[in-house]
Amino acid sequence: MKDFNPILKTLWKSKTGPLLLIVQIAVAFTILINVSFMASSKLHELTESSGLDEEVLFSFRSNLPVESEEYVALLRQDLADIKNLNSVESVTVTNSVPLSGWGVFYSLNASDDPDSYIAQAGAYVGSRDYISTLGLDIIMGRWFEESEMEFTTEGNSDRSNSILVTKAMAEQIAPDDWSTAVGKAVYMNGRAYQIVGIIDRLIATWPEWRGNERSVVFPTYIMAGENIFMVRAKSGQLEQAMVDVKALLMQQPGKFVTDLHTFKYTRETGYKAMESSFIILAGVTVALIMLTMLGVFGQARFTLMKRRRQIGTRRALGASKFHIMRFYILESLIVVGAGVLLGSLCAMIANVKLIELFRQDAVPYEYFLYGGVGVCIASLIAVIPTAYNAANTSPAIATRSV
Amino acid sequence: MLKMRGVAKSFVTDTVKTQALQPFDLDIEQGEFVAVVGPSGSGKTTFLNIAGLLEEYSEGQYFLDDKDTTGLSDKHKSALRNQKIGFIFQSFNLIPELNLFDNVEMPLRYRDFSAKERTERVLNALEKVGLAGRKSHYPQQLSGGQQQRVAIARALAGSPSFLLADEPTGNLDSKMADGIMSLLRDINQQGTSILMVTHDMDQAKQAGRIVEIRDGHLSEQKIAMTA
Repeated sequence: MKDFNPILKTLWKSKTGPLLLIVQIAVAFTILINVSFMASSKLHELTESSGLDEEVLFSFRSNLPVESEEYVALLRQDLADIKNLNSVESVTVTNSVPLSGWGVFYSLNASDDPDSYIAQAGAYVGSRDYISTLGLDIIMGRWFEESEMEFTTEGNSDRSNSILVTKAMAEQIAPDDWSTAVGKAVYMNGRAYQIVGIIDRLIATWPEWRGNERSVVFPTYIMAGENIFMVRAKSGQLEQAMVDVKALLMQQPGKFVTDLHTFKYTRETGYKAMESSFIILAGVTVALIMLTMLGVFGQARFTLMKRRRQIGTRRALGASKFHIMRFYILESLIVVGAGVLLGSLCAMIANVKLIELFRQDAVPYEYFLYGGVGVCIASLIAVIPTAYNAANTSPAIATRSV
Repeated sequence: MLKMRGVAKSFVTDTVKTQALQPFDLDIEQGEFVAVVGPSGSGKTTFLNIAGLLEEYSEGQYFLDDKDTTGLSDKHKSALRNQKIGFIFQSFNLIPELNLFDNVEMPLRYRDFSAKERTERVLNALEKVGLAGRKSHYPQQLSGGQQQRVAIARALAGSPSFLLADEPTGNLDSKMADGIMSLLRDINQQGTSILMVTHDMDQAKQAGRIVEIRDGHLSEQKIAMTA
C-alpha cells in the first residue's frame, strides 16, 4: 500500500480532528459492544423455548366452593369433567404457570450442609397429566408413579421424596454428565429428595430470572381453596375449549373462573418489560452505529472541503479517480481501525467491570470481531460518497488562483 | 513533441456560447522553451489547462509525443499527465503535511517505480534544485523561492516530456523570481522542454519563443532571445 505511509504522516501532522474522531469511535464502540451483547442476550431470552406446547395451552384460576375436607373429591371431579369436554385434550392442576411471574423457588444443596449449595430452581407441582398436558419431554428416567402422586390439604412433611428436574438443573447437579443426575439425592430445606427423571425444558415462572431454565417438579399437590389449572385444547380448538371450560365450571354455585388466558398471552405479558428493554437496547445499538457513521462522514466532508485544492493538485500530478478514492477510503479505515482497536480495549475493561458489578457474562470475542467489521463497513458506507465526490474533483482546480 | 491542430474551446452556459479559445495550431519541439503571454482573461489559463490535459477541448486534435489525446479516458489522461508533463504552479501547491521528500515523491507513487527507484529520483531532483540537504523539512519552513524549487523538483522527478509552468514567479519577489527563471533556463539547456504561461514580458523574452493569446486568439511573436 503506497499510500499508507503518506496517510499516516498526514494524519500525524494534523492530528486533532482524526484524534477526536478516534476517541468518538472508541467511546461509541465500547458502548456498542456491551449494549449489543445485552440486546443479543435479551433477544435470546425472548425467543427461548419454554419447553411447553404453547399454541394449545391456556390457564385459569378457580376455587373449590366446598368445605376443605371435600376439596380432593371436588378437584378430582373438576379435572375429570374438564377432560371429558370435546374440545379438551387433557388438564392438570399446578401451583403456578410458567412465565406468569408468580411462583416459588428452592435452593438445592448436595447435602444437608447449607454450604453445599448447587443452584436455585423454580418449583412446580403437577397432577398426573402434567407432562402430557404441558407437552414436556422426559429425556432421562421416568415420571412419577401413581403411588408417589398425591392431592393433599396437609403440609409437605410427608410428601413423597421423588422429584424431577430440568436438564439445565441436572447440568448443575452433575456437571460432568447431566444424565447421571438421575438417582442422585439433592437437599431442599434440609430434606433429601431423589431425582427420578429429567425433563428436557420447563421454564420457570420469572421471565427475567437468568436461571429460569432450572426447574424442579414435585409430585404432591397441596391444596388451598383456589387452584391454578392448565388445559391442553385439542388442535385448533383453543378458544372453544376456553369457552367450554368456563361454561362447565360456572354451573357450580359459588364457583369463579378468573385469569383465563391463553399461554401465548401469558408469555407476551411476562416478556413485555424485557421486550421494551430489548427495543431500547437495539435502538441504542443502531443509534451508535449511525453516530459513528455521521462522525466518519463529517470528518471526511470536512477533510474534503479543506483539501479540495490539494486533491486537484494530486489529480493534476497524475492521480486517477481510483487513486483519490483509495487514498480517502484508506485514510478513513485507518482512523476507524484505530478507533475500533482503542474501543475494543475500553470495551474489554468495561466488560470486566460489568462482570464484577452486575455478574454479567463475558462478551464473546465474536462481538469484537463482528462489531469491528460492522463499524468498518458502516464507515465505508459513510465515506464512499465523499471519496467519490473527492475523486471527481477537476484537476483544473490546481491552476486556479487562491 | 506537442502538436495541436485546430484546437478550440467554447463554454455553453444556458443559451449563451462563449468562445474562450479560437481554433489554433501549435507545435512545440523537444528542447524548446516557449512562453505564453497575454492579458488577464485572454484565455491563457484555458490554454494551459488544455495543454496540461486538465481540461477538455471542444474541437481539434492534440498530440502529445505523437499520441492523440482526443477522447482519452480520465484514467489514461491521468497516466499521461503523470508520465509526460511536469507541472509547476503559481502557488507551488505543495502539501503542507508532507516533508520535501514526500512532496517530491508523491507523483511517483502513482507509477510503477520501486521504493528504491523513487528514492533515487527524489534525491536527484532535490539535488538539481539545491535542496537535497533539506529533504526532511516541511514547506512552511522554506521561503517562497525555495518552495517553488521543491515544486520544480517534483515536476522533474518523473522525467517528463516537458514542464508546464503556470506563472512560476507570480508569487515571488524579483530576486527570487530571477533565481527561479535561472533554474528553468538551466533545466531547459539540459534538454527539458518548457511551456511557461506568464504575464511578465521580461520573463517571456528569456524563452526561445513567445506565443501571445489575446481575446482567445493565439499568435506567434518574433522576439530576439536574450542571454
